[in-house]
Amino acid sequence: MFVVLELSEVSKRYGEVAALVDCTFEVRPGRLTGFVGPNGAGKTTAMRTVFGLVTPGSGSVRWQGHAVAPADRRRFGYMPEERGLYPRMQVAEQLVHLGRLSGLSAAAARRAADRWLGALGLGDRKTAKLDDLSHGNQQRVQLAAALVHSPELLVLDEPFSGLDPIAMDAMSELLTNLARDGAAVLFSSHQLDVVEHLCEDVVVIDQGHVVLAGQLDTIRAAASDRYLDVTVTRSSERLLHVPGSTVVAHDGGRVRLRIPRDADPVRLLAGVDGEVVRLTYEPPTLSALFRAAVSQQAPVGHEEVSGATR
Amino acid sequence: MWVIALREIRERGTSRAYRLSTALGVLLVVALIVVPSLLQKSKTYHVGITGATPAGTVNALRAQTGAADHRLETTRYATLAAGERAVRDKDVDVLLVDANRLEWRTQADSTLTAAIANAIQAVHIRAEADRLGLSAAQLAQLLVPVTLTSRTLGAAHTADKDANTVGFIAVGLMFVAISSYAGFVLTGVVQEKASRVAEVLLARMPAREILAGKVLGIGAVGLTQLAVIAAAAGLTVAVRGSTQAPSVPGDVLAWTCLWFVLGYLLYSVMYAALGATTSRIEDAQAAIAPITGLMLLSYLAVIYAEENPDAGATVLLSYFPPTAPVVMTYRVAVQAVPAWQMVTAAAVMVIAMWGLIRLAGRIYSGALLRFGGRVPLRELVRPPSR
Repeated sequence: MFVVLELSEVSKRYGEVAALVDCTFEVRPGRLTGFVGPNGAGKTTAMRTVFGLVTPGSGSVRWQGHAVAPADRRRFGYMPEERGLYPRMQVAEQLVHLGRLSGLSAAAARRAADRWLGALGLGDRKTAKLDDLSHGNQQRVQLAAALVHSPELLVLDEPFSGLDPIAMDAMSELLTNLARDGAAVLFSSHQLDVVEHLCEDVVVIDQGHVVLAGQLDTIRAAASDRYLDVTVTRSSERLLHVPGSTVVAHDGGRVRLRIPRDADPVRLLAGVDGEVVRLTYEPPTLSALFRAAVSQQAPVGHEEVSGATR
Repeated sequence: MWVIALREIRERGTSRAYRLSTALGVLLVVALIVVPSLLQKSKTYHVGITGATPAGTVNALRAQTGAADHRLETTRYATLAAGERAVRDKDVDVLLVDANRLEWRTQADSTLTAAIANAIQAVHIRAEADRLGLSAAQLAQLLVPVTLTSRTLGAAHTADKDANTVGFIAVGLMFVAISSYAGFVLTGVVQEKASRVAEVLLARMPAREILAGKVLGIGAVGLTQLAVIAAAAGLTVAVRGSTQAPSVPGDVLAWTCLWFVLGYLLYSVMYAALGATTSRIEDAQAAIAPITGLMLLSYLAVIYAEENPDAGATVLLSYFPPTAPVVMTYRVAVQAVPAWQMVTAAAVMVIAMWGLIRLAGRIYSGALLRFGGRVPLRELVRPPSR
């Protein structure tokens, strides 16, 4: 398993604003990498540096060990946050056009366009103009545009935005399949539960800084806390006062406690009143990690703008 | 790059607007050629005559109107009242009373007046000659017209009105054509930015190529449209065998085409670069204000050139890339411009364009992803900031 895309100390300023500061992370093939962060954190900017839409002030973006060349970009697929398609052009024609721009022959582009439109359930809307499709269908076309040339690296900016649950499932399945077929997939999202569910790797960015990066399981295991979720048949009063624990949530017979990593859950539960119906012991969710990481950033951000180094 | 050009050609070439505008252009041009000659031919003057009129007046009138290719119909009225009623009833255009007074219904027609005056004058001269006892031969000698020859002092001018007309028509067409087609490039750029297609395109290819493809594609479409219209014009003139339309020498046509292409390329690249700094069509109009100013300058330059064809300033303006296309075209139409001048001016244009495309590419790629009003050019022209 080798690193395919690598951002190394990438920085970018727009006038007074630091969009990216020493941004470093990796994307590996055959895996899904989730890119999360608050709005304006720099996710879109970072993605754009991969495609040369934004030129970093310093740092490097490397693909398979070397600096990204225009020929490499033909093997990348990009689905930007906004629509990025011609409103009044026929859907199939647009895909063929974009496929040809990525280096496919006219015939190959046409075949690929047909294949992807079929795979995404739009086989019967080939000659429709983009504007005439529903929002969900437009998003599918946008996805097809990024996939038409079967890219090795797929970068998607908020691919799940505005999708209903069924469409989300379809998108998730598609991305998982793509990764399984060997592509490196990087996507950003605000839906942390989706990222947690789908991704093996995760990158958390805030105010231009990467605050967490790496394998999700590893990061979670390395956290200093654990969460204990207990549901008992009778009173949960005792659980509220277990020493060394913090009550995170309490709802009738169900209690969620935060305990130190090295604490023994079994010992803590000794003497609990009644039968334990449900028990979960887990490291922090991505959501919790995210909140913790991002809230730590706040004071540091101001220093950065004035030029002081961390 | 060619893929982009082909797309432009396909999208615009098959659009209804394009077909309509081409058809309209053809119709307009054909009409402009055909209609004036039609109008002139069918002119028939209706002249009423009453009162004491010398013999030969009608013949003299016919000779006058016949010389101007018009037809004449005369009607004699027994009384003044009858004649005047005829004028009021529009049966005749004018009433000639006693060979010395003209009565019109509402407005005197200067052409007809002149014709009638000449006719009356001719009759009068003949009558007087008869009275004085001059023979027909002596009268003819009296009436021999004096010929005036014309010579121009300036350098080889085809300084007839025809050349001037051709010059102005060519310049006018060039203005319209360059503005429209370069305008298409502008709106295309702004639309692609607004719909974020630009982002998707830039991820695949450098900005210069996108720009070049767009300019070439639209240019090809525009040139085709012009060619169709020009062919229609040429065909119409050939078919009618009309001498009303000014003749256009072949080399003038060739140079005009060249300058149109160069002018279009220059202006469309400028439009594209400035258009990329805006996000809406409304802003785009404001952004290209300096270019519009340049076009105005070109227009003024042509007017100046008409007054002072040999002035140093005129020659200079024909080298200055933004004004070169129109001024050169005009000069070519009315003068024999030495080939070396043309080649040099064209070379200057090409060099200017090469530099401009590089600059435009940088502005384009820098501005294409920046939204919210207009991006200041200063930020874009400098190399990417840290």
